Amino acid sequence: MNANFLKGLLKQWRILLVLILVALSIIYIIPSSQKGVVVKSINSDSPLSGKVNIGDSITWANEKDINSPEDLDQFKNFSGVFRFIHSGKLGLAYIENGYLGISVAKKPFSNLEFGLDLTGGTRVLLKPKENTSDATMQQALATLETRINIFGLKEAKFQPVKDVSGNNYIQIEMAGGSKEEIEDLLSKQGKFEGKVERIISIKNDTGSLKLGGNSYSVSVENDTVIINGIPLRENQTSKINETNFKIFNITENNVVIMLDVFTGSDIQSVCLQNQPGICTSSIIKSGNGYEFNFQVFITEESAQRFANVTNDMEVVVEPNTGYKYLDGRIYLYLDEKLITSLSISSDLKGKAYTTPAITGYRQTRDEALKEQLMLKSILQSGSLPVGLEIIRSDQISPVLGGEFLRDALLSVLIAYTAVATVLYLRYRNFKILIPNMLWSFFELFLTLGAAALIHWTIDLSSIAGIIAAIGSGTNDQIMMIDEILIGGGEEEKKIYTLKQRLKRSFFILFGSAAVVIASVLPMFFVGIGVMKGFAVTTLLGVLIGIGITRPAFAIVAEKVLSKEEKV
Amino acid sequence: MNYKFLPLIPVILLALSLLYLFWLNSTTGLKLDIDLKGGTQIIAESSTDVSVKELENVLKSYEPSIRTSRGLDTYTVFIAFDASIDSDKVLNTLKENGYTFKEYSIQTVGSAIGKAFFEQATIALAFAFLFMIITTFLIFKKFILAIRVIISAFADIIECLVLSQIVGITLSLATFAALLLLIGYSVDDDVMLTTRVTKGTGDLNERIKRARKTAFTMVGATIVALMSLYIITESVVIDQIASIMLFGLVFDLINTWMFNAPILRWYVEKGWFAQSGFK
Repeated sequence: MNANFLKGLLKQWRILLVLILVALSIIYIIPSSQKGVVVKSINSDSPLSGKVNIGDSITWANEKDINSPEDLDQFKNFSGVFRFIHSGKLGLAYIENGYLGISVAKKPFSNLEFGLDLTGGTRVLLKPKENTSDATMQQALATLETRINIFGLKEAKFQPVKDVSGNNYIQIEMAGGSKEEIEDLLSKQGKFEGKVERIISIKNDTGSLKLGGNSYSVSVENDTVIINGIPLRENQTSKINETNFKIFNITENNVVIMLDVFTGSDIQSVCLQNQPGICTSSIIKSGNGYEFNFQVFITEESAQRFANVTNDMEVVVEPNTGYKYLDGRIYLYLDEKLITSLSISSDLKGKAYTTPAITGYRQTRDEALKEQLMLKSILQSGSLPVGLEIIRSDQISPVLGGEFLRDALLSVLIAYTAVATVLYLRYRNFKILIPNMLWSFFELFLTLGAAALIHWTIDLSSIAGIIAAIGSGTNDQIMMIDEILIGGGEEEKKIYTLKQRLKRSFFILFGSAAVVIASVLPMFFVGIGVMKGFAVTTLLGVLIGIGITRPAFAIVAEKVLSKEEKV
Repeated sequence: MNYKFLPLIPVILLALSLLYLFWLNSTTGLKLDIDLKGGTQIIAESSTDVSVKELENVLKSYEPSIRTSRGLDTYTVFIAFDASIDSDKVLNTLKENGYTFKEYSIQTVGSAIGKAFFEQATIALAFAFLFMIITTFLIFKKFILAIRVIISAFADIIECLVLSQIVGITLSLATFAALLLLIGYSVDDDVMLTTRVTKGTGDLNERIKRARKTAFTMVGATIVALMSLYIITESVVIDQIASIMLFGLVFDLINTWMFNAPILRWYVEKGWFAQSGFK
């Protein structure tokens, strides 16, 4: 093949398109820059929370390049402003004692995402023990996520799944871990506490605390505060006016104490779903964002405690919105870990409501829903709204998974060689063999590129689908070559031109592609997506084949073989 | 031999396969993978060959079903047992008897979900077949042309299922996927054959012969590719898909060239084709 011949081929837009798309696929699959680390999880109390997202890559922090998770260790004892570049943007956060609250991993070699059966890990499928509504399933999912955040098991991925019959399931995937850890997670229940903060102003080392109509003297001596005659240090607890409290913070100007108002047993129920006349739970558009609202039913006793604690609090007015609230917040804890805090509306001051509503505001509907679900799950002590059982579990050894991937790659290479041998035995012509094999590789890269682009997770069944698609591609190419070479024999060659014969072969190609697509489609709906990968990659491969690569191959085959005929 | 008698061979094969399937269904039922019937499976890797008999003896109390497979440089042992048995207990028993597997994977499927998956897979297969029938009729437009392709795709699936059950490949989600794909592949060479024969000119025998040459090259290429997959990988999913496809392609050769091609030839020779104005 001489240079002019190749140049002629490159003038064909279909061939150029294939080459460009293959190049783009390779660049996309294997990015040249391996710099940075990828954020795998973010703790709820992380100073970077809300500033980075899972999947972001951090490439630089405080004048240092970050290329491996160990590079972040140098900030172990660092306190101060942490400047970092994440996915190309600069971010700022204030960190204390090196606490970043995120976990990171080395950037993967390629943009392809591999499934659990290739990387190893645990996947379980949970089914509710009774029939449940979508809202209850959503709450169960939020509760599990809250528990994961509190109890660990950070790298877990939760997914609600539905089968064709409409049954709800929850799928959990973890990089490490075991079935037992998930069983543990399902059986665990947290201890809920709600505490109201009181800020006591201190002047000349003295102040006073008003509580339940009484006034108690407060004085500060160095790191000790004396409340009603009892000396206490930070984090020490005591009781006042029948209410337990803890010293949270002592400074020159004020003392902050936390009063125990609610425990798990005080929360009788939480409104999960709006039921007119029974309880309310809603999310409505308000201004530029969304306001969520839901009712909680609490005991008479705790409502009274809340009234007592808030009765003497000051009302503060937010200058921008005019919103009036009390000068202390309510803090929600699960298993002694602070999860979140809420401001208290001034309407509630000194009131003993047993059906208070909790409201909040977020920019987007999704965020509002997430926050609402999270709050509901905390108030229920992280207890699940419905019993869940493990109905399927896969625990895959990372070593075995890695071997599967290695073997799959090796077998694809050997399959290529074997196919090439068969083709050579049949045609005895490298000019036919080379474009044929080249096009099979093109299809491999294009299918992988498309899979990476739609963020499809490559698992074993996806690999099988890719192989199936390439196999049917090779078959199509053989058919096209034969159509040109031996098509309808000498007589037919006189009647039909090469172009006409190729056109006829495209009728065959589209016909068989249509059947492959039709027969693989139902796989989407089987086994909650266990074999979805197979369907997706087969479809991608077949569509890329008939849409992009086969028409280009026809041009090459036509040029190469018409030249052959003349020779 | 007169080519008109050739279709007898695939017809007898299909009849025997159907008989076997009915017999199987009325006795033990289809052999299902734990994917579809529920159960626990431990997949362990060993650097030395493991005797299935000895293992069965050691794990007797769990009533396991055990098989081994040989990979490139390792052996893989598959131990399947009832889902109600704790997999840790089985692993402990193995350990106590001196079997230590460095790497293993464990899969547990509840019987209810297995049953649900089986139903879904059966429905999917039925839909795939239905879609194939519609597409085939759209492509061929003529009843006889379409129906013989549909019959041979049906025969491919039934015969493939029977052979896989006989050699002990259990029906799983992966084998179901392979059967679906087989529908697509089996129609492939039928479309080619029919188009070449009906839309071409020249000697009919020659046209069929040329189509056969192409089809055999296609099947040959696919078979060697599937063999490489089957021999090298130890992944159950890929192994099952590869072996089902291998069986299927062999049956497809029989059904296409002993059933489809003679009927097509007869159809064209009768002159029905020319009268139909299909061209």
